[in-house]
Amino acid sequence: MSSQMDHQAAQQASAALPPAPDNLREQALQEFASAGFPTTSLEDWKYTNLREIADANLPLAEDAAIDGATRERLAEAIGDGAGLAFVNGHSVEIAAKSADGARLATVAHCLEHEPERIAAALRATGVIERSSLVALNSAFLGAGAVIDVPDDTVVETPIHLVYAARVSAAAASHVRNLITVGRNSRVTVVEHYLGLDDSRYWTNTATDAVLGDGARLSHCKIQCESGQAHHTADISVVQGADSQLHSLSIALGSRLCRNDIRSFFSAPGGHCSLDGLYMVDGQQHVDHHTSVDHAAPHCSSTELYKGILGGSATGVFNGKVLVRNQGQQTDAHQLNKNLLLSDAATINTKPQLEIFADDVKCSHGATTGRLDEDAIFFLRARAIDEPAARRLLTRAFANEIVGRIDVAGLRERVEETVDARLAAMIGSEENK
Amino acid sequence: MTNTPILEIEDLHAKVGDTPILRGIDLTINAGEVHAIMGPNGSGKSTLANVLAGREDYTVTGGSVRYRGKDLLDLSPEERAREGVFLAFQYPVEIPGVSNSYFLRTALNAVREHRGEDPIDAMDFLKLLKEKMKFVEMDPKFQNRAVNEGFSGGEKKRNEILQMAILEPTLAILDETDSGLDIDALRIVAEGVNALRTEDHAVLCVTHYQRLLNYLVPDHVHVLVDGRIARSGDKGLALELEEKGYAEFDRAASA
Repeated sequence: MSSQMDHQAAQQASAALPPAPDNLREQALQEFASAGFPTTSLEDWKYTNLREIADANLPLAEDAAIDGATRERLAEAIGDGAGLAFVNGHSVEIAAKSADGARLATVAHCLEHEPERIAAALRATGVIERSSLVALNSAFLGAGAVIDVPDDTVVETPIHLVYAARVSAAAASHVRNLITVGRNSRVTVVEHYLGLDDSRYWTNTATDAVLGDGARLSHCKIQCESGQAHHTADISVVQGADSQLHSLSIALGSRLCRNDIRSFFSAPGGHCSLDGLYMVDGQQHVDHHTSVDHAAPHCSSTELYKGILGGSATGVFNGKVLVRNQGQQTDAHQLNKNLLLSDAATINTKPQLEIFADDVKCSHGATTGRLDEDAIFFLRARAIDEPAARRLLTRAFANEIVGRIDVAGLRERVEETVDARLAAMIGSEENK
Repeated sequence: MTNTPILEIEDLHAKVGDTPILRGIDLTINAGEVHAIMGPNGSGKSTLANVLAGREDYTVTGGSVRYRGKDLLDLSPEERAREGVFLAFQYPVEIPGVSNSYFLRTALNAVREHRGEDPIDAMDFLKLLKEKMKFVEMDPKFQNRAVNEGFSGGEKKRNEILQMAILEPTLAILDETDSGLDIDALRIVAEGVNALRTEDHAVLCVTHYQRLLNYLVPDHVHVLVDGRIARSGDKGLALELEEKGYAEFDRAASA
């Protein structure tokens, strides 16, 4: 689909989907058609080039046959939580706990039976400016999950949304997650993106969350796509008064990954923590753009993003904090730390503070470096061999983020995945 | 005491970059002995300790070091540690994100594996750790804290002695472990060293001050000046140095 996209073909593709309310798809398609794919001439996309996807004209991914092993992997990701599973954007029946207190349904189900739920969630996040990829996502609205938590409800069971991919020919899937958390309610949502083999595909996902006053959302996104995949994601959250967002992004897979994570404080007293870990090597590229919009007073935000880069991998971190005139008493802190395992790996890190209020506390920092050779010698002098010492120190670096996962069982599984990834990354540096 | 040599250093020369630091060290340490190396700042004391542990910032340019009959200089730092060489660091390194207990168990298991032993059982390890922490008078909360992170100077040195007590090295090298310590901590360091004072172990204690030697009576004292051992004697030499300082050697070195 090029920027002069084949409008007719796209319309035909989206016509095959169940109807969406308010001409939503048509409008989104028009919006995308006039904007086109983001290009590197845009400041926000300077280091991330989507030309390959833009030129590929990818068809929508089709339903794939699900074998026992695949079913097992999907079930494993859900663990003993509640959740929904999808392959290539198509829903797969998996036995899971029910999410007591929350209403959980597929987007496809809601389009057919409760389109108003979708329209309402999408209206709420309209205040946030997002990239044209989100418009493209809306143009193909049909895959994904809708989660509604009523007021004054604590959902104890974490809800897992598992998106797995396996395609026979390159294809795209557009996934939409719509989360509404009522007043004084609490829920944990985990998004998993899994590559089932090394096929080439593009996942374009968008998550819209609306937090009522006093609501709390723990959101964890784990990206383990195929090494050949492209993955683009936009998570946009509108926060009510005294609400809390805890966002964690773990990015391990895909050849190209772009995550936009945005929080908008619509009322005073809110807090968000945006944390992330990215680990890339070979020719991988990973880009996190975070944006916190302090449009209301007395809100606080903290960010800690850590990256481990080896091979010829490239990384980007851009942390934008906007404190508007009315955002007095804002407390915003941001830190990005990177560990380079090779000479060829690069990271572009940039804080972007735009402050219009005068009574605020804001800080930012970024570090990029190698492992501490004194620490390596110290460990070797304690009988630990050099590769093990490097693994230990690198794992410790990653654990500061992984340790923040507060979902029972999930942290251990991510730890294992991170360990395996580390062993491979450090191993490949040593064999050079 | 038997006279089995643990460490035999012959005419050892080493440099940092292009600067020669050690200029012909000869020293033999037998099993059961505690040796103290004293000397003014810049005499090469710490270099000697670090060369023995295998730090790669130093280049050995001549001489030999045999450890229990093996060529020590041929071994990597981790191989030396597994063979029972232990360096207590002058400046212990902070390792954020790695708990003290995990670190100690990993180190102990690396040594055990080298000896052909099974890894220590988790419960047995905790028991051992508890006992050794009590011995070095460390608060149990330190076992779950990241290695040396946020520790005071004295706590870091105590932690070095804890590592020594758990790994039970054949040759312990203390690099100015006494600097910056209060009397309580000094006593603990000395007790840690004295516990190794048996026929199977030996200790090389590098220090600037005589203070530690009040608690830890050395069998031999050597004065290192300008990269060479200028004088050797018994514990009386340490007392003499405390009284007179290193002025005499400074004159000798500059003459």
